Amino acid sequence: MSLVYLVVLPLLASFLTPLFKNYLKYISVILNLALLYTVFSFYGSLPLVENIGFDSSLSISFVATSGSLFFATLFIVVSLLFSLYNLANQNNKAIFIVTNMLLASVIGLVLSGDIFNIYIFFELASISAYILTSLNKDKKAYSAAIRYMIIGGVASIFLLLAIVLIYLNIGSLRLETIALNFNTIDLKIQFLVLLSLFIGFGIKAEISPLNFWVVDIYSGSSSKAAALFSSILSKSYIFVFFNIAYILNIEPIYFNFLVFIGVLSFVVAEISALSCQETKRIFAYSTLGQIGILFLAFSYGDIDILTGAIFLVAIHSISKLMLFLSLDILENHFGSTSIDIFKKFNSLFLTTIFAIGFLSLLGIPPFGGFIAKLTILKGFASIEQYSIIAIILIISVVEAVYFFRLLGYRYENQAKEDIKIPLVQKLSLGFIAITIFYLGVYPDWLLDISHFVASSFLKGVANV
Amino acid sequence: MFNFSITPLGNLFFGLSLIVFLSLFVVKNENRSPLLHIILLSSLGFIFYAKDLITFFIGWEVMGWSAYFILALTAQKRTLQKYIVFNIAGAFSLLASIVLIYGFSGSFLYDKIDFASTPPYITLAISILVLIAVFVKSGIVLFHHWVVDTYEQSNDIFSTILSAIISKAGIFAFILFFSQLITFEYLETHLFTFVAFMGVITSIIATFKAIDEDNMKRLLAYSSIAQVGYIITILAILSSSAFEAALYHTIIHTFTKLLLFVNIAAIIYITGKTKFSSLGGLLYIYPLQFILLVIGIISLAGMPPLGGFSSKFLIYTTLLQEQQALLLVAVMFSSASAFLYCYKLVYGIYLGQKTSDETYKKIPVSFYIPQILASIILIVLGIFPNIFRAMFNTILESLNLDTIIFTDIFTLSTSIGSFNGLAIMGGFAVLFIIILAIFVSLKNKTIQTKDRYDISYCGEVPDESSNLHYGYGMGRELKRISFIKVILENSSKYFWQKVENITKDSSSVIKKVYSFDTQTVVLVTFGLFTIVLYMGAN
Amino acid sequence: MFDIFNETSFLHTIITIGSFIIFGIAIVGVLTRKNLFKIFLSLSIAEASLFLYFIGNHFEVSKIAPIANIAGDNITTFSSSMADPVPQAMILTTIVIAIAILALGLTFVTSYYKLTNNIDIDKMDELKEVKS
Repeated sequence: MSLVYLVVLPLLASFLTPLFKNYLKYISVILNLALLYTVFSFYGSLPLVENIGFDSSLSISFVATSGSLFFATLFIVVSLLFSLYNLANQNNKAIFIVTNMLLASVIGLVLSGDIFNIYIFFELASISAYILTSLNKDKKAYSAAIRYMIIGGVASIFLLLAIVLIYLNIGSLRLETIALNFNTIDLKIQFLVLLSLFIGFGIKAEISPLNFWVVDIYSGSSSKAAALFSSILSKSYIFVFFNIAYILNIEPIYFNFLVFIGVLSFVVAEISALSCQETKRIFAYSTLGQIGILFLAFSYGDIDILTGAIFLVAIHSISKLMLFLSLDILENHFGSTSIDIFKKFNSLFLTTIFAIGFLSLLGIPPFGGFIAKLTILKGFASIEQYSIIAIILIISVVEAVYFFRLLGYRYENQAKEDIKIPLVQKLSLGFIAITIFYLGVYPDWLLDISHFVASSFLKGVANV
Repeated sequence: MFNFSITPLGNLFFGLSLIVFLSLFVVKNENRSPLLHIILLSSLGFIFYAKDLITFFIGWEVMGWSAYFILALTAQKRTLQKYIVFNIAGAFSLLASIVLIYGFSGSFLYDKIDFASTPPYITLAISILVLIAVFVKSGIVLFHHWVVDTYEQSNDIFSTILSAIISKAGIFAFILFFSQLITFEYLETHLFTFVAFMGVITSIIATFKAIDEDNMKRLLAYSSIAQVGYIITILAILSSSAFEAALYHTIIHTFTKLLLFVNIAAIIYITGKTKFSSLGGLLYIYPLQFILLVIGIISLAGMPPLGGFSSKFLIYTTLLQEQQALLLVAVMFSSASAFLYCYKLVYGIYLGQKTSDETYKKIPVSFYIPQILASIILIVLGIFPNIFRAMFNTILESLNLDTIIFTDIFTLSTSIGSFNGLAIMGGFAVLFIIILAIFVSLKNKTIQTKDRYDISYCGEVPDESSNLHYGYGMGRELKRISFIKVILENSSKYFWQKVENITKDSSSVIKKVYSFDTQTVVLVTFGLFTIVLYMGAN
Repeated sequence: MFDIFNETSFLHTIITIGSFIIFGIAIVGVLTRKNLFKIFLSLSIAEASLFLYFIGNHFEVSKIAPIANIAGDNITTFSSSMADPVPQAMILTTIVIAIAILALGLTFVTSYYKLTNNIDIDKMDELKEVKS
């Protein structure tokens, strides 16, 4: 079992699409289950370094640390739930190809051990994202795709600049070699490299002030695309950026800058969401806010805060998946996602799903989001960062205002239409909701895993 | 993951909740949602029986959102928003204090929390955050903006639960944090004045707003706020007799409000009307309801011979003992003014002449059950006022306070004075029978007016459009007193609306940042690059 | 006089300055042009400038191509006089990726034009939020 299978299998499946035209949705479920089994088989032998081709310090490598495997597992689980949800729709070639490309590229992103492979998977993921945006084939979708491409092009230029400077000054592309020699290069070049990496990854990871594109793009794509973006895509870029940051062992002052960026992102996103009138945009703002908290938490380098941040990544991915897929059901029924659709539907199941999703995102017990927020806040209290605690909790009240406004629309007395939801969609959404509840009541197993992952993050280059 | 411990204090509060829930279960209720009510009851169990702060907080939040969903079945959207925003703000404030406590003690368990090593400004911050949460839940003034509309628009049975139990959760949190976790001396020296005066200011303001109300449920909502204000004031003292007064008043208030709200619920169920000005003269149609309401009124106003007097007696004597003259005057002033809305409650519905000639059906028996239960408890507490002292002593011991001397169950005694419940009840009973006999014998010799427009006794000729209901406009004349006029004409609504408008406007302004077009976004990116590069080069 | 063109460092300097000028031109193009094709073209030019910078700075005057003729050459002298193959491979890969992305982008522009007859980026306002 080689790590390469995790990347190759989905790509192979998407190439072989013409062969199984009529069974695509089942193939995707089976593929995801196979990937899940494969990734579980690596758990015993961490950290794992696989050199491709020949075994030397000049070869391309895949590195599996506990962090990479955690994120890879998370992405495969999200993709599995997405493909289970899709069992109710018809066989769609485009979604099959693009989802598999996306999955292969994000797994490659988190697993790759040299920086040029990261660039390649970065571009591959971008291509999948561009195509995913345009799947609806209407004016808004193409407009969104074009804008996304222009901004994504700028991101890849910055990343390319960083790689160019690194190779010119260090002479190797492997992450461990770069890490060991990073401090030997000129300080100004170091700063330029770090800044280019930050901007390159930051644009795709949706952090302020580089995320002004996100809301429009999410509103132009379909809800399924937005689900994949917010649960898989942005998390992978955050992981790669912080992985590189911890491996390169950068100065604390840079981390302070990242903390400031995280707080700014959270505050601006949540306040902007208050006056928004379209549900997909509201969820996009909420994603931006949570990514702000993640940046904030990842930049502190404290083990407890990092544990909470990794727990939050898992919870947020599945919560957002659930919310966007529920919005997809509503979008297919009503044809629009403005806030009015919340007044018009009558489905106890969907109301419960939305309620659980909102309560979990706000951090209200007994759901998983509460445990994540509590762990992060506990960590901040231990290091006496009271202003951050105050900011997070005050802005969370603002979050509560718009989420409960959406729920409140549900109870207005208007003529309501019943929505029929296929059983398999109910099962997949219900499974996610039950998992969120379960993680709120028995979180210890995931907290232990997060703690293990966090400690491996902090060890930095000793892993690789 | 969750830690529970059975404490006497928890038993008291949970016992009250259980009695209220079970007695309300039998009442006819259209908007029944049993699952949500069960979740609410179990969250109360979590709050009252928790052994660590996380279990407590989980119960607190679950109580908040399960009440929201029960409310959502009947309330308007604006009220729902107000309820949830205030309660979530209070809950997050509580979370902040819990997290700060963890930061200094390293644990959430009640036994392991130690405030000896925290700097004073941190203890102050924690206390204020807890107080915000308590004030929001109990409806203390400035944070009470959500209370009245919520009580008015919720299901009638749920209003009872809100008033009888959920406001008590705030009281429980207060006792828990300030007696078990943070030490007494801290509250006494630093925050006593603030808390006590917030309590009496709440009582005074709420009492006068209650007198001015025309809607039955809103009047009772303001009355609830006022009564909980008394409890907060007396709890700020934190001595044994103060605790006993507070707990006694909690029990009395729970049963009084149970009685009153179910009574009102029955009237609303039968007539469909919620305003005093459209009711009146129901005494002869529903005499049993009238008697039950009078029992409730007597207890609410704190008059002997019923249980309400015992708790008011304890409150006054404690304030006297502690030599808090200003607080005592304020509480007495507020209690005396409470007579006015009590009178309005009973006159507006049952006495006077009928407003319309509709005939009404019988009230279903299930409405009487909680009322009779509550009135029996209130009468019993009037006869045996000392009946709970043994239980209170257990609670006081568990909180490490001195216990109070227990003599016999008929005499309620404090260090200043005492009274014998049986003697008072006996005296009142004798007087009542004598006066009743006089009235019955004189009944056929009195002159009765036919209806409100019978002009035998007045000098002008009223027409059909003037509303001659006695309860209508009661409180108008109070506005001539400038102090009360200030209270009645202002409202915390204006402040909170300003806060809301500022947030909304800033949101629209900040949102413009997200509506840039593509080239501006790219420009921002390059601008950031250049600026940070320039800053880094220096 | 033209002998300095045989110095590696001088060539590096020229390449660096030149590539940054081209990068600057490209960025100005992305920021100011309104035609969608011109914007994509400018992005391509920006990437090309980076390729130029990278390859140019790895160019050494007296190095030979990194293709070994094992039977004939001596390995050690070959390896010390060969140009670094890694950047060449890297840039070839990157050029291919950039072309693929450009092709995708032009497909989107064409499809968009078929739907709306609009090629001006300032008139692309379908994504603006509807004020209700």
